[in-house]
Amino acid sequence: MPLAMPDIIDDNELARRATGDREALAALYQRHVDGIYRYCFRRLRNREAAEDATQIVFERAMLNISRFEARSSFRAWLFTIAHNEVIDHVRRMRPVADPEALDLLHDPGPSPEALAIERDEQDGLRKVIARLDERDRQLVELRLSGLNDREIADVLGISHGAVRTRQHRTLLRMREFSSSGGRS
Amino acid sequence: MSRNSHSIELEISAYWNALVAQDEPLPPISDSELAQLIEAIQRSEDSEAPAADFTNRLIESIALQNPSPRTPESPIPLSLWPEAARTSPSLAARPRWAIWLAAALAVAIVGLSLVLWLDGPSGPDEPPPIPAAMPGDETGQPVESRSTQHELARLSVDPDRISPGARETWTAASFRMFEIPAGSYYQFPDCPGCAVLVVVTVTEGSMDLRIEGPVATSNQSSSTVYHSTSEQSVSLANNDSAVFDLQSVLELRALANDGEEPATLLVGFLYGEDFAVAAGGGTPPNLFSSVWTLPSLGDGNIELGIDRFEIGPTSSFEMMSSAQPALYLLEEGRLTIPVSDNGGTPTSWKGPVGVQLEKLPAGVYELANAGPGEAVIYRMTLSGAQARPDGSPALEVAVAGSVVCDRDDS
Repeated sequence: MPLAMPDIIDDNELARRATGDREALAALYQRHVDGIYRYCFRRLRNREAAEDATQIVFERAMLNISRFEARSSFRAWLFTIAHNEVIDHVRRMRPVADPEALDLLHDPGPSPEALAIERDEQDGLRKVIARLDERDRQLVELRLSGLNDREIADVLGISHGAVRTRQHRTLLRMREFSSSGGRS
Repeated sequence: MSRNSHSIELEISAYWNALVAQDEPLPPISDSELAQLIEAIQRSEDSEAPAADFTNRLIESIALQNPSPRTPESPIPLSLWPEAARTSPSLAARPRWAIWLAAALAVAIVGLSLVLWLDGPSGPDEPPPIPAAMPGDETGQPVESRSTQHELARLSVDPDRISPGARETWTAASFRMFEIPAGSYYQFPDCPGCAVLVVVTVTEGSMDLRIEGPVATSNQSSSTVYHSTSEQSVSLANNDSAVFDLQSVLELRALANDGEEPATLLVGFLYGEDFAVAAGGGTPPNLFSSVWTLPSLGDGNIELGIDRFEIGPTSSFEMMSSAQPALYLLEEGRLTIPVSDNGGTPTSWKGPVGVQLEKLPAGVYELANAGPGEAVIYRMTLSGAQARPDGSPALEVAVAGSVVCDRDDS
């Protein structure tokens, strides 16, 4: 049963206590399972895949929690694991020997995700997000997960300044896509 | 970057941070259109929530893997954990595969007992059975298996002198293996203003590098390092390397195979996000590739290296990894790298041909051959902030092809 009490205790403090304390683990889990699952679902667009990825993320986090050093926020650490797991998952599903998969990060054309989203014709903004290249989309998806710019820098392994620059460019691209009706 | 652009970036970051944190009031932002776009993005969240039965199953699974009791010094006034999770799940709650596994084990035990009973009981004086030798191992001795590391290229770059401003714009690195058929070529893509450092190492066959601009090549056969600044066609043989900055190259920038055999080469790129590596012309199959986001390079020279590892059957290569990032390409065989870190790296990673692992944590780890044949792995490493001695060239390439390590793991 979820309680309001966990919010009183800082994530990093819970992580420190979590080794040998299942209730601290439970509190961390309750706080983040929804966000991690949603992030995985947004990236993988498949319920089973998102569940698999979420399970791996938490199992890996719990296994390594004693090594969490609080140099970043716990949320950033957890999303770093999720980010890597999603990348691994995509690689496992798409052999890299396929030339189209090689250029996942750089292909300016619409991805399968983008095509799927375009088909359902739900929301112009979602179509615009889907048209972004992989790295810009990662940034937006981490923002949708509620991460701040410093946490995103930790997850993506880039500098804080690079995140600010990239998100500015991403917004300008999105505005450009929107004004051109989704055509680049 | 202009001061105005910098301040807009700061405004956007502050605004978006406050929005996701649900802070009130939101800080001011000069471009109201961008503010509306940020708000629209946050409203566009369309992902579905996890199913309750999934989250319940997962928390029970985690509970079973973390059975440690609470310690007295860490009282947390929570009662989130369901008591039921402290006990083993009922048979009905267990995963279906576990039930099948238990059933299969029971059948196997009964079957084995039956066979032993039909053969008659073993007497206490009977000698123990002699284990069969492994196939192909007539002597019973381990088959010798070797692991070697070859340094193919080692270069030191002063980004500020090679491509002014490149240090700030390089955001990614890519490591690719191209096979260029006989009579074919690869034209590097055009990207005006892009700072792109290219490292080419030929691993099989021979190539002509047609380039107009500064290029440094290392030639294994003559053990020399050659620097040129004019239009040229450089022949590269097996294990030769060349390094150049695409920004300073004008018209000629092609890798051409004028021979009669296909040539295979590794191409490493350091580049900004505006550069599309895949956009090059020509006809080479791009065999496989790996990409990573560059860390902060810091001041001073950066060091980039390409190595080849050959790992025999049943063998492994133990190495010490610093925190520097590395890209791996597995050309042949199958590989296991048992690693574990804070960042989500798999604890046991198995790679078939063509799959890469981007980063390994600092520490000792093994490249273990998990297949029956030889495994061949290429690695590109990058480290930053190396002080460059005064007067040294902006770009240095070490003579390549030297065998750094030759270990017998029999």
